[in-house]
Amino acid sequence: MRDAFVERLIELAREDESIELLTGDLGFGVLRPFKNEFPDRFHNVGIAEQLLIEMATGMAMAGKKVICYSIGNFPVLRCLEQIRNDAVYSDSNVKIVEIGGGYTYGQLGMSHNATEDMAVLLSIPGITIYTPSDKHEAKLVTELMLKQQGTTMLRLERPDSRTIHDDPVLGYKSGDMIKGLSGKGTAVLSYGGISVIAKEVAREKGFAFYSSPMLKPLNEQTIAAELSGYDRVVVVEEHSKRGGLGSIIESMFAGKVKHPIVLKFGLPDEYAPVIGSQDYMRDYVGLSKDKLLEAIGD
Amino acid sequence: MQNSPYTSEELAWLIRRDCIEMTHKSHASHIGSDLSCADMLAVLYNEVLRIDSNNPDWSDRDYFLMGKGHASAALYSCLANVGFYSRARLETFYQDGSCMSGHVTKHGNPGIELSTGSLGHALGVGVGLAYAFQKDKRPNRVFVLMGDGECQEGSVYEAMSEAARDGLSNLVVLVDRNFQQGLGDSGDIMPSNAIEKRFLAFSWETHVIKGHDFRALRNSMSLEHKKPLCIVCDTIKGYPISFMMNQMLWHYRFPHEGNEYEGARRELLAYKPEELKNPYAEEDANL
Repeated sequence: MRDAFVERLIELAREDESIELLTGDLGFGVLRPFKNEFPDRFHNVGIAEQLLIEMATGMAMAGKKVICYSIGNFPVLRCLEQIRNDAVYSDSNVKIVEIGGGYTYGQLGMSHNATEDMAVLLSIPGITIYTPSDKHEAKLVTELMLKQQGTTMLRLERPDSRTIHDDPVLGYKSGDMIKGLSGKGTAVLSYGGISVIAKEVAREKGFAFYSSPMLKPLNEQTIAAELSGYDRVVVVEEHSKRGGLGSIIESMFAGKVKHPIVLKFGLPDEYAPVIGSQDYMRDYVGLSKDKLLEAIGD
Repeated sequence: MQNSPYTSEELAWLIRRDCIEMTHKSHASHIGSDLSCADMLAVLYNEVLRIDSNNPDWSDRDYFLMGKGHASAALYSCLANVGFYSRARLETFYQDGSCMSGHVTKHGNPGIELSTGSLGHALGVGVGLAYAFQKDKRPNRVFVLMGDGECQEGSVYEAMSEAARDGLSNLVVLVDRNFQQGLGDSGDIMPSNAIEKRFLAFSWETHVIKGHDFRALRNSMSLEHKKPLCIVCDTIKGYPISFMMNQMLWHYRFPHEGNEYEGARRELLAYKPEELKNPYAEEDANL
């Protein structure tokens, strides 16, 4: 996912000279291809996330499209006020790229786990949020992100050979979910790398599956109408159950007399007392394939 | 160069008189902060910035960012008097449904580049602007006005470091050092001379001047500089109103009806440049 982003970014940067990349001292090796090809458009601001977003806002005010690259929570929580007050409020072309959604860096501990980032950003008016599930969606949204005016956030994970799409995604309409499997009774929704697991679960159960390459803004009316055809909607996300996609779906149905039952699978409202690999942590919070198969039922 | 029909001394007087009116009518805070930076704003906008009030988005313009966004009345007045919008708009300050918030906002207010209010953001944004202009060899310059209390924010130091590293000779910081902040003397929280020492330590060209001295203001702002330039302007909070000067109370208090409102206007009248026509002549006639 991460490498697909960098590849597509480089292709787009060849066509658009206004694209610049700022990093908060992270991306060793990963960003080298960009730096090698565009040394004048690459800049390491150092370990200074507030400056990262402020400086990007200023550069965007001067006509640039600025990628702000960092990992985990750093480009979101450390500089949240800069995102809100500077980048978003001035509708600047600041493109935040976070590597390490969920438990990508599980062993590194709580400080590096991006497990509330969506909840926080979803509450900010006007920001656009991209949440690709595999390398194909990562390429797709990298392009959307750079064509979208305003402040955007892209949540990525490390490279993973597993995909939910066999081929590049064509004909995607911004704000939609992508139907990956047809099925009856239950629809499983997911975003991010955990989608691979969610899709396997859906396939084994004979459920429908949808990935959500974006969380904001969503075409809520279309999505609600589509999901209303199911008895149950199961949301699987590597993020707090409070304030993520599950909460968005619940809000979509709020006030409606008849709607599918919504089941939310995500992180509980407490920090894990242990650390571990991404697979280990997913299992720990009930997001492994086996635990999901059991918990979702039929 | 003169961007307004006034001398800078006249512009500064108008800013002060407007601020007394605006804060009095709206019961808004921060008159002390408005008054301390009025002279700095007047010289900057009248004589230094390359701007066109008829074309606020002119691509070659200089950018001004108001770090201490709570002194919004002073900036709104300055922009009105320089011609970005009518003076009548100032009557909407702090009012329901208005664009003129108690902290600087760009939305709906021509000439304002960045919305501020939370301290310590403007310098970093200014660094980004200056970095992009330098990179693209554009003529635009960037000026950032910060309060001395604002210099306690950590983000200021991230930006100071970056500016020096990039050698941003198109960036100027003006510090309104009025020696007071929300809850006390800024010198009790951070030694007053720490500001110039820190800018010097970060390899900025740094000068300390008297912030109500027009000659010092114009000379320092027109200095040639190869590094980013910091001008620490020693000012007096509430200047020149006797009962407001250096009084913490006037960080928050608005000039109340009676002695405060009348007294402030009466004292200010004594400073009015002779040639300047007082737009409040009628109201001030009976003082």
